[in-house]
Amino acid sequence: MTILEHRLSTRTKHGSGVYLRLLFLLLAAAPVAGGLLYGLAYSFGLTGALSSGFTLQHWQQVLASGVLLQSLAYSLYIAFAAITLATASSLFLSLYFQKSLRTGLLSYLLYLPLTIPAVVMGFLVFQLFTKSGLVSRMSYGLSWISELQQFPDLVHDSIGFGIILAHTLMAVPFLTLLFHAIYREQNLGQLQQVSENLGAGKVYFVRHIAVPMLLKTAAPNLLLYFIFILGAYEVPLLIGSQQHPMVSVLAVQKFQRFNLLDIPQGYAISVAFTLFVLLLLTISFKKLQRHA
Amino acid sequence: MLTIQHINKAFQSHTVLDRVSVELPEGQVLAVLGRSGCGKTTLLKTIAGLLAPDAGSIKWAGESINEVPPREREMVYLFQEPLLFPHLSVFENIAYGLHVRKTPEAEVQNKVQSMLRELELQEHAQKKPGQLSGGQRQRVAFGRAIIFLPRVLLLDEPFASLDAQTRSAMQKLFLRLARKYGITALFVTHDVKEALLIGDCFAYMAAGQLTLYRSKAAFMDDPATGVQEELAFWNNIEHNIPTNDK
Repeated sequence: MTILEHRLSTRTKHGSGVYLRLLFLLLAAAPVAGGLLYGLAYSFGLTGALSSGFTLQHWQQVLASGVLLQSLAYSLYIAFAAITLATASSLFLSLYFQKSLRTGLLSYLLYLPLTIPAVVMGFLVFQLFTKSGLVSRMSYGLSWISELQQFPDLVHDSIGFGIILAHTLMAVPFLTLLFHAIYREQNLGQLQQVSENLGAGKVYFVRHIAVPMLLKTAAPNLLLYFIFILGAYEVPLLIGSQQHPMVSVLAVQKFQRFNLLDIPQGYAISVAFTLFVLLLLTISFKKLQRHA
Repeated sequence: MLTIQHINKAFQSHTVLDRVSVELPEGQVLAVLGRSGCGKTTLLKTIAGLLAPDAGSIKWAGESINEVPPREREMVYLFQEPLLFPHLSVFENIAYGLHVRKTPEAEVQNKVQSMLRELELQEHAQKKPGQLSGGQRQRVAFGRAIIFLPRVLLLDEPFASLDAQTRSAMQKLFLRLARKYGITALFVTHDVKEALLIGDCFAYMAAGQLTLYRSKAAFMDDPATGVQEELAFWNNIEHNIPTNDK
């Protein structure tokens, strides 16, 4: 290849790289950035049906009422509880049911919950745990409670039992498959033999080798799933508390009210939530990179 | 003394170990020479307790250890790959066996620091395995295996994947530490030179059968081991390599 040909080919490669990046920006980044900018403009009164020029009033209303912070704190609690429970259950399954996951019944059953949409899972939890639900009626049938009203509030409750359970049930199969794949990819089976050979029991290996390795490798996925639960809409809408809405439910409540003046507040909440998630992602990925 | 009597092991219908017997006195290194697939790895894994023999007995100091689980045997199998714990530092990897045995922290510090010096890895103590070269990783695996002075060390071609120079350095290091700590070891290799260099006593393995030799000379004289062939090659090196002088 002559020098000229080499330069031309390098330029062509460079050129196609630029086009690919532009295409990515156009398809992935531009719609998100556009939506964010539109939301920002709406929340500052620059656009919309009742826009009257730049104002901080909507942001002040949202922040002064404290409802956004309460909702964000509640969402963080729900997401943290669900991801912790799901992670613990999935670690247990992937570490103590290796054989079943490789060839047994569990390897098929695990895919079943993955096919259930969030709305259906929410509805299922509702059917099971409402005061007139299946579990309540079974408890009544077994004479554990003397009337259905005695059954505890597990749906639409303020501690979010129903939402946490629904999200945990949806996350467990996904995380179990993830941990199982990491287990094999990281050669943990052989490392367990090494550990055993050096005198360690299974519990010691699980605590000091398997769990730290699985969590470290799965950390980016766990973080993304945490954010998915943080912004989830269908499940908290169906079985969440009316007094403590999660952020996405709160934003949609503002959008759907008859008062058009509430819409900019809905956008302010959405933008604030997006910025919070971006901040969370940036800090977490930097930390993860540092510890990689 | 490690005593192995008439061990058999088969996978489905394929016999991998065929009535293997060994007697290895304490502080001696038995070099086991054999080609790939002759059953060397199965022999070591069976002694370590990672595989159960179909028949035969394994004894330490006259007591059967057939039913003793691998973690209680104190017989460490050193895999062909270093298999270090990737999230732990070099220091933590070497200290693993001591921590498992709940050794007091001050003693752990002393022993690991001393081992790091022996292995010439002091400046790498806080590095993760991913930051080390192949030879350094193998040295860490070796240190991790001997730091708590196991009864027997079972080495499965531990230097096979290293380049010639590093391999030679590792062989010297092994010999030095084996002498210093009085290590009892079964060293499996397919390299004649390595077997001769490392071993105090010698064995040859083929098709699941193990032949023990009474002396180094007997080992060298047996045509099956290939030592004579190797010697002949080096003695006639000038005739073996064609030259372009003509």
